[in-house]
Amino acid sequence: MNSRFVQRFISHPAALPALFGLLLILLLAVLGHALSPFNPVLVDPHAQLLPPMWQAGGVAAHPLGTDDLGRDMLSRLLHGARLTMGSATVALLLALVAGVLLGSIAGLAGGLPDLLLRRCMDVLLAFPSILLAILLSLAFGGGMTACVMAVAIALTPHFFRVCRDGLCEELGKDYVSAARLDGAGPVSLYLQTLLPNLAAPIVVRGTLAFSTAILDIAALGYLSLGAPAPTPEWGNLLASAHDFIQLAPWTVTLPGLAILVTVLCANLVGDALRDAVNPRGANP
Amino acid sequence: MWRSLFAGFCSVGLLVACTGGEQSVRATGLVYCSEGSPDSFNPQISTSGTSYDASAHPLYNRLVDLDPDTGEPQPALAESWTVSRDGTRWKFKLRREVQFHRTAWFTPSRPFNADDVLFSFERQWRPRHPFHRVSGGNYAYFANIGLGELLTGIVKRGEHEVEFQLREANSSFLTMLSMEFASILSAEYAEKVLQAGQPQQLDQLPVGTGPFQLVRYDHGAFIRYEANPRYFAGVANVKRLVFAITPDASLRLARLRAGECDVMAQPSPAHLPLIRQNSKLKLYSQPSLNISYWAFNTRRPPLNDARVRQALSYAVNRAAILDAVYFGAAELAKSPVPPLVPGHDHALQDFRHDPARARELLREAGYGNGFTLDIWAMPVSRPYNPNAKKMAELIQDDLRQIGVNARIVSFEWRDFLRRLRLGEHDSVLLGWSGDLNDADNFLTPLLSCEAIRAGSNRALWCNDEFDNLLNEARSSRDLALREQHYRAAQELFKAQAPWLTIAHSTQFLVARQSIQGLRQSVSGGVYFHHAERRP
Amino acid sequence: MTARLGRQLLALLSTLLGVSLACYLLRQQMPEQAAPSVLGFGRYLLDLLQGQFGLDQNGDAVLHGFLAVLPASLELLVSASLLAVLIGIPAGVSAARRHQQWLDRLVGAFTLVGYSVPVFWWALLLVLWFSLTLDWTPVSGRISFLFDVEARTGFILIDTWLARDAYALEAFLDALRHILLPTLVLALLPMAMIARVTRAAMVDALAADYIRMARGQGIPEWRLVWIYALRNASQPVVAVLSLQLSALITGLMLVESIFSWPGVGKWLLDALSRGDYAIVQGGALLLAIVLVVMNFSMDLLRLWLSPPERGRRR
Repeated sequence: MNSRFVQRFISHPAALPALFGLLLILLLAVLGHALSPFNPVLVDPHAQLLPPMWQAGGVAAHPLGTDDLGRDMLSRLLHGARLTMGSATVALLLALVAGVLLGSIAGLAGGLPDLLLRRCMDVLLAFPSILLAILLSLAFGGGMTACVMAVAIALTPHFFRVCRDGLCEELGKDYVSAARLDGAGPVSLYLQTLLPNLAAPIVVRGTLAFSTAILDIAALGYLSLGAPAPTPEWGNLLASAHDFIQLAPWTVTLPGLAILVTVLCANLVGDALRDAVNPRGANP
Repeated sequence: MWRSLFAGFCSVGLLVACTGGEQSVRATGLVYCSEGSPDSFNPQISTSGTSYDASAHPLYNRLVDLDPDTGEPQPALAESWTVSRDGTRWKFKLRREVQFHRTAWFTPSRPFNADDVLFSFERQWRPRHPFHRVSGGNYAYFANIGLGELLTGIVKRGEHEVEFQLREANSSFLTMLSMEFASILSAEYAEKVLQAGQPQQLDQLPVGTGPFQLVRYDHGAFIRYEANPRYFAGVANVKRLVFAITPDASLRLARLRAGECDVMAQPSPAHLPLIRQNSKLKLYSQPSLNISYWAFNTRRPPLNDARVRQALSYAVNRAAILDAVYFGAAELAKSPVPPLVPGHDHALQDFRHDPARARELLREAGYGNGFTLDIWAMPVSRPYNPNAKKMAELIQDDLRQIGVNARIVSFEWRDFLRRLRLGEHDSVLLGWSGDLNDADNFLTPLLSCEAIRAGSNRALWCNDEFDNLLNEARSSRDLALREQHYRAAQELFKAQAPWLTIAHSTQFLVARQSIQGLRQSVSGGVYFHHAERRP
Repeated sequence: MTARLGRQLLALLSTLLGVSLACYLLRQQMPEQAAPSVLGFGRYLLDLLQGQFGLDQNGDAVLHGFLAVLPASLELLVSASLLAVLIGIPAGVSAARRHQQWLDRLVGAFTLVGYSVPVFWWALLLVLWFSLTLDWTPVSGRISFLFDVEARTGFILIDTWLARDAYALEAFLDALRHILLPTLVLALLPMAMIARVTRAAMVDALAADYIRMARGQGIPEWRLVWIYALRNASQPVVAVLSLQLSALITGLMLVESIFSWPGVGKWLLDALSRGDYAIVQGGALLLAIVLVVMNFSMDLLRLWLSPPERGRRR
């Protein structure tokens, strides 16, 4: 089973490069502090709006150029990787835990709890992450926490559905009845039999949700609903570069490319995983 | 699939092609991307250049105008005038058959006459006037310039003749009458809204005599004007004039480049090279009488201590600000009075960038461990400060060097000004565009005790010695003596440091090449009366 | 069928109740608000039922403001969805018919990028290229400021037609030019989603037995693909769309903010930066209600599209 799975994953043409790309980006995010040549908030009035080094006027000290205050773009992007991906990861894990927990309760208990929880998730689905972030920032003050919470809450219904629907499907299968007949208690049945079978779809959903989380966090940063101003979060970088799009296009293209490449890698890995788990190619 | 895609692209191309040419609405209309919302449409109660540009210039006229080139007074609503030998009685003969705007909210029954002049000045002057308290009752400019003390009477001598009586001769009286706050409103309209129980409507739905009349104001989005078909100085070429309110300088330029607007206010200095390169755009510039400053609220500790204010002044690297915020299109300000203005103290000692000295002063004042400070950065760009937030970020960085932790605060523009007036700020980055080539115009409205009451003294700084110097300067007839008083006042200002003066900037305006006949106003706006579009 | 519809309606009502409860609880978290209570929620609900969603800073009803900006958002949403369907479905179908060929791979690559591009960045790039470099399209708003179009329906493309003055056509074309870029930007994500789901569903549908049988009976190929198979494939498409509706709304708010499009999103974000919290609370609730109702209608659409379920319930 496992080796077949790996084989199927590898046979996906873009899976391995994307996986390596994603790992590399994660590594850069973790090591960002050590690798970045400058302090990302260091203002240098003598090095404003320098283009990347391959363009005319660029200098090697700032390989990706500088922004309007002379801050080094490479350093800001590296620090931003950590911030954006870090908060996306936190949001993802929160949503995963909440979604799986609630989904399991709904799937196992059935009946009224199931109905109530499904209604709750429908309620959450009515609030896009931006709307949630706006409301949370109103109630609890803005900033990164509200932003991460909003993204986590918006993602929870996805995990809930995967887990609940998966459980409902598995519960009707023969091997579950067999395990029941064997005298397996509900807890051990859940932990030893059901959860392992659900792991694959949850991981697939998680990889795809990771890309959603990054896009959402960046979007909230772009609308100044996330991290406060000088923080080099990727969406923030784009927001502050917005004024200079006509003058210094690289301050806009670079953070956007960073987001695009990361999300693309995550989506490719997610697609390959899904195809490997479910070779018939059904949809999310 | 390809066929439908192809058809889609073709229709898009058609769309672009057939709307690209000149059409009737575009040919006779003009869009001006302005930098902010006016706070009212009555220049008597506004103090911001943004409001003057949207009200005084398109909507109203004054009794006299200043010739833009020579600065000489010219007839406007007053046809001619005479002055008594002692210089205290000015008799104005008013122009006949000048019609007020006919709008959806008012139809005039009579042309402009002496009653309108009386109404316009007495509202600001007489505390008992039925309109004096309407819309806040704050006539900052009228008060600051001292017209209230100068006037002893305004008398109607006939349907078209008015006499102004002064306490003493004053050589700049005509210049005062040419300023925005001296715009003439309709007394008949005022009477009507008063009877309807809606006196504040006078300041929001304006009726004037100017080249354009208001059609609609969509708050924060646009102001729509149309040419006044009965304008006494000739109907404007532009039939529809729209101010597209665009606080974001980058979006203003984008709109100009995409042809959505034809003229834009206040380009960001950062964009100047880009504009100069663009053959479709034309850049207008003029040295301006303005000052950008960082005012400390002298009523709040620790800023009530002059040493702390000096320390903050030493801490800021203003040369870097000139580079980063103004991109060189400004000069370092050492005094509130620009160098071009008579009375500017050329020998004034300025703060140099010296963090060590700043730390020392803080220690002396007992704040060796630093403190926390709010910097209010205005949300709009003005000619004197194109990007207050960026300036605040640079200052924040400088203050970190001396252990002061700064927080940058901003509100929506109207809210910002309202809170400032209430004195809720620690410190604020603001500025002032003068309209007179006169040192008093920069000192009295901004730094006198009287200006605290008028709400324009952002440092809330009141110094009797400083006020005495200003009073003596104003009343002295000897020019040399007068300048000597101003120099003394500037030295006192520098020692007390209620502000850190930052820059005097150059004013810019950008238009598409096809627009001609524009004239820049001193406050940074544009006169559109003679503007037209040439294909 | 009726029973199922009834259950759906019950679900709709309970979801709406839940949405108001969530908004009420969040509202009570704000400073200067009493602790949440059953009585308080009852009063809140009563206000909502009477259409009282609060008053903004100028004392105008939030509901009124919302209704004034809603058409602009709907207009953009509809035009983007139309574009997404018009391109996404043919792309998905064509890819499925040429399964594993170059067109299929091209569509696959396109959908993947469509999924992964940050909307706001894509918008900025299009502006940079189409508006600033090529001077083709405007960068903001719904129509040139020079036109004073009376808002009868609130939909600018309709209003310009209704305004029967000499400039109607000029105004209409100008409005079309304005909606072009925002539509292109907003349509990218749903277009990618539709193409992808359509492709997958069509691959399954085209391989189904009944299609092979129909083909054997000599029914023309275009009828097979575009009528029989597509109808069966449309149900998963609607299902995915309803799940992604909130992502679409997120995109809508970003696009409105970038193109100064005077819709619900810009209205909410402006109110937030102005500190007009009544608008934010009331407006967010109203938007959520609109979303729930849209989701509900998608469910109904799915119900109508799915023959097996219809059959079972009959």
